[in-house]
Amino acid sequence: MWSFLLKRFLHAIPVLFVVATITFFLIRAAPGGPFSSEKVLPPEAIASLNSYYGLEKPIYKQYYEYMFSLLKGDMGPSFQYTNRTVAGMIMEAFPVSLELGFMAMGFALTLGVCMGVFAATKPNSMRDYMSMSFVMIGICVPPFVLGPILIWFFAIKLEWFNVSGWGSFRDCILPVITLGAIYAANIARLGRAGMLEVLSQDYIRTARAKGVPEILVIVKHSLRGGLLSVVSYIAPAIAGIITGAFVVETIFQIPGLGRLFVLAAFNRDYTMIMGTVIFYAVMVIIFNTIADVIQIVLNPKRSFDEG
Amino acid sequence: MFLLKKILLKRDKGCVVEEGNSLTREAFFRLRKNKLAMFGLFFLLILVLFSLLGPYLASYSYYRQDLGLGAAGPSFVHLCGTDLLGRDLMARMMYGGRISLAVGICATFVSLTIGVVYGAISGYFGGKLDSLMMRIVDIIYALPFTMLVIVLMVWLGRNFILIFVAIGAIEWLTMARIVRDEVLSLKNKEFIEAARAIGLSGWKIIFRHIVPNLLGIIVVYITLTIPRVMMIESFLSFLGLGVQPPMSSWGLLIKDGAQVMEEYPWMIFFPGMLFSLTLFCLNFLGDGLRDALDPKMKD
Amino acid sequence: MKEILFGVVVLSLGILIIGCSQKKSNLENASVNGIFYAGNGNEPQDLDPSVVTGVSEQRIVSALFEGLVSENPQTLQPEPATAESWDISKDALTYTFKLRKNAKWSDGIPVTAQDFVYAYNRILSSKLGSQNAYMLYCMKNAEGFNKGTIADFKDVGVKAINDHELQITLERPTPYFLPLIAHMSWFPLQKKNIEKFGAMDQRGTKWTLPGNLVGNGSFILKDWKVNKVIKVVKNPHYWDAGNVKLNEIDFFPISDNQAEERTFRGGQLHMTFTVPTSKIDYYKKNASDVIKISPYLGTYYIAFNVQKPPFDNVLVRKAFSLAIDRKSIAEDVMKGGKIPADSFTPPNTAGYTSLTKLVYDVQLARKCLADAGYPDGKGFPRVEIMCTKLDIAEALQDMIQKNLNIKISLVNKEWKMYLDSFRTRDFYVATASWIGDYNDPLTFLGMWTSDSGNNRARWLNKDYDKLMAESSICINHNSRFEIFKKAETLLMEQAPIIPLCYCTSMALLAPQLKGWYPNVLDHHPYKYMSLEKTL
Repeated sequence: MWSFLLKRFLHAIPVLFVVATITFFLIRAAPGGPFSSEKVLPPEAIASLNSYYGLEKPIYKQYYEYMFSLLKGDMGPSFQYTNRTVAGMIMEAFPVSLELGFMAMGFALTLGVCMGVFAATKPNSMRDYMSMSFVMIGICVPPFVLGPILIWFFAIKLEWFNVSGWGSFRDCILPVITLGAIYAANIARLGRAGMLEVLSQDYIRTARAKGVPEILVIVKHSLRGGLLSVVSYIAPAIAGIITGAFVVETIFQIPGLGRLFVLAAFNRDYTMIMGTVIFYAVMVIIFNTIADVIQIVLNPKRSFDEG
Repeated sequence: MFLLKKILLKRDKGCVVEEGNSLTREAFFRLRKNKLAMFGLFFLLILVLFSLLGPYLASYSYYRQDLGLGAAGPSFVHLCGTDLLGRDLMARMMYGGRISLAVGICATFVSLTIGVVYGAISGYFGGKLDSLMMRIVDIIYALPFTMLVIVLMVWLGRNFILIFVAIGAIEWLTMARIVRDEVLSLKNKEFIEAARAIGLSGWKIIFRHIVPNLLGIIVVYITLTIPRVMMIESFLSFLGLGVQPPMSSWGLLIKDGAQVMEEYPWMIFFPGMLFSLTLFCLNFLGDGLRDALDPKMKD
Repeated sequence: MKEILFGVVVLSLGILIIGCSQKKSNLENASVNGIFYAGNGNEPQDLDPSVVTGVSEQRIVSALFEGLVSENPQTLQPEPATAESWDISKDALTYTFKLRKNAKWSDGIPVTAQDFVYAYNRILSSKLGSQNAYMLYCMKNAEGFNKGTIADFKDVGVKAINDHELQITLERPTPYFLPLIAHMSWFPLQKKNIEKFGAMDQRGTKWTLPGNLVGNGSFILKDWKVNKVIKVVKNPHYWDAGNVKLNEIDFFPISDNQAEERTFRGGQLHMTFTVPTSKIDYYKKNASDVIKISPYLGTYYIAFNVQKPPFDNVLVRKAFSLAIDRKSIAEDVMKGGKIPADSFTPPNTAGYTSLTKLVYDVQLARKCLADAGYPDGKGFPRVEIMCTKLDIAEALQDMIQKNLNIKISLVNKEWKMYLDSFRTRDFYVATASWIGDYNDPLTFLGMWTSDSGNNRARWLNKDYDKLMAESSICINHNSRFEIFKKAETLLMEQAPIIPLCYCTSMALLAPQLKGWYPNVLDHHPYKYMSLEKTL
């Protein structure tokens, strides 16, 4: 296993290098600089800003210097938020995103697995259609519609929750539902498909024939195999959920990573864009590795040797 | 993307569509038993007609404003009401349907083409080329997807055509991996060996004999990718990076409607229902097709 | 089986909901404790008064610092603040300010005249690259020092006579000088505080973080969580602390105006930063005491690229101007009590009102277009309107097409790209807006001179330049305004820009909030605000 992890780690280095390079040049190619503002700056001020952030140097030199400081673990200062560093801001936003992401995943798992398994117990029946239709709301209604509807009903009409903000557990519920809905739908789908496959196996038929109660058949004999694909879905999904929550973060006013990135892209905050993208890539690699490890552990057909 | 791969690979790897029509017919028979999927198929046909033919029958154009009228509720004059600038919502929905479906189909087509060709080449030729090509896929996988779309949109500007290309250019990865895996397993089958023995070139083998065997996967892929793309389109509209008015798309209408859903509920209700139902139908049709094409799923 | 599974789902959802079925009302609690919850737009980029430019930053900085004078919350007239009195020389070129003896920094050290000199030296030093340095250009040699032609700061017209007397010498008579110095770029800074964290002209040091920042305003920075909240609490060392009624202000950076409005409606804010257009009618009808709409010192306009055909022809520009129904744009599209514009400078700006009148006349517009060589829009090249927000541009597009029979396309650009297009002059027509920096017509008319960087139309007119030069040396108030009127008439006749309507500022205010007054700069000093405990 350790050699497997080492191999993954070595593979990650060129990936991160390419990711950083592509983003660096893409974002520099975009029109408009970090200091173009509504009221035009005198050229002297622009010159001094450029020299402060090293933007007056030729691009290859900027690239070289950025990569070099990145190697030393320095992501530089944010262009937009002048008294902060990129690393500092990411580290402040990351725990929030992590918390939101894990809770949303927990919600999605609970709902998704229940509904998926429930639907699979009687395929092509009303039960199947109803439960699957219910979870499918998650992938059919865009979060920027689902969020405001939930807010309108639960926060404004019923006054159960705060409309926005991030502090107590109560503040998490609506965003978690909004964010988790789409994942719940996918988990339900995977769970249903996996269960269907397992339930058609011979040993299940044998178990049923032996008179094992249905509930035991499902919980004891088929859940493990049926949910294998769900397990390997979770890890990469968490990576996505953590950084891809821009819409939910905007609607519910959550100080997470997604907003950090999108605002940076619009403001041409070069260092912040680089920082968030690289951070995200690292997350993807880590969670994908975790997914593989879990799969290998759970699935006897695979081994750590395959890479 | 992982999800899609899992769903698609439900199909038995050993099964090869060489046995002729019977399997297709059998699959269709199984699909017909899935009422939800059939409903989806039926509804989609109506939707396509609505979007394609609708604008010819409508009495309003999608861009003509009536500022004095402003946002008016549904009435016999404007069946679905009007938007904030007094434009007929029904006409905008029809026109928006064209754009949204076009975005979905084009982006899917782009990604399908890249994915199939890329995956087939990588899988068939194998060796160093394969590992290089798959390394590239890994790299693009690690690129933050939404971030990449945003960076691309910022870089390229708000261009309608480019939306297709940008989305399609990113969505192909899953397809490439799946096709590669399938090709790897097909490569050593007898009929391919036979084709090779009679001296067919690699390209011919790939496109004459291997790709047709992937049809099932491709169909499922299409039905599941179109809704994903449409969702992305709506996300881009939310960011203000999507289709630009006076053109319309469902994503744009929903975004506009969501902002005024309490004052003018019809502006979110009609486009929202249409959008969600379409996604719903496509997803169920995709799931149904996957179930149907999986020969193990016989009861 | 069915029942059990269903039970699990229902139960877990139920627990979730019941577990949190009580919610206390935030706003009432806050009001009782004197905590003011304010929506504040974007996340502030920094809180350094010499560096920041945006409204979101201004709202916080003005709680943390105080200048020589402050604005009357209703009339915006300058009132004594850190300076308790001042003398103006006969030629109106020298101002001598007497500072309050009891004015103190938040660490208890007295505010001295040197602190102002230090702040002005800092903002004008070219290495800092302040975007606000131009606000000080009326000071003698300030522009030269900022641009590097004058090396020694001693030559700049600011001097500390002693600890409590500050003398400022101006480059030229500036009738709006006193209102101008209420702006944050004129706030004092504590040398000791800033240089603890870096050199004077170093950007981005940590001195503006909570715990570090020392200010002289009525509040102290207590907490700053990015994208979440900025908290400021009452400053006990403030010279007028006895009159500050609020104990704390929490600024929430809610950049999405829809989300902000919902947050307000959910009872989590006393005041919003703005109001979404779609909600204006609702509040006007159902809660007219909550929504506050007041004129704002700014104008929406469209700018032509006058160096690019067909808009190099004044007749074409006129035709466009005549074909636009400003009333409909103001009332049906922009809403919120917007007034159709007749001039670029909003009426009654520091007492100045332009004489110009802009009309909507389709017949005349068509005639102008025909005279320009495009009868009935024939042969008119394909042009596009550039914008960042669609509503106005969409309406314009439709009007031009209907009235002039010209097809125009729309390009909605993302903000930075839009700014870049002005820089590279890669546009035909663009919708834009301008918010005045200070309450004087000059902030509107000064930007259309040939050498102005903000002249987006790239309109070069010698007569206009001459008029503006004349106005800058004119001491007499009335004759200065007469020159402005001439200049504005010329601007409207040549029509490099077409004003559409004047801006309004909008906010939603909870009824508990008292001491908030509407004014054209949308400045609301917190010193005067209070929260009523019960309703």
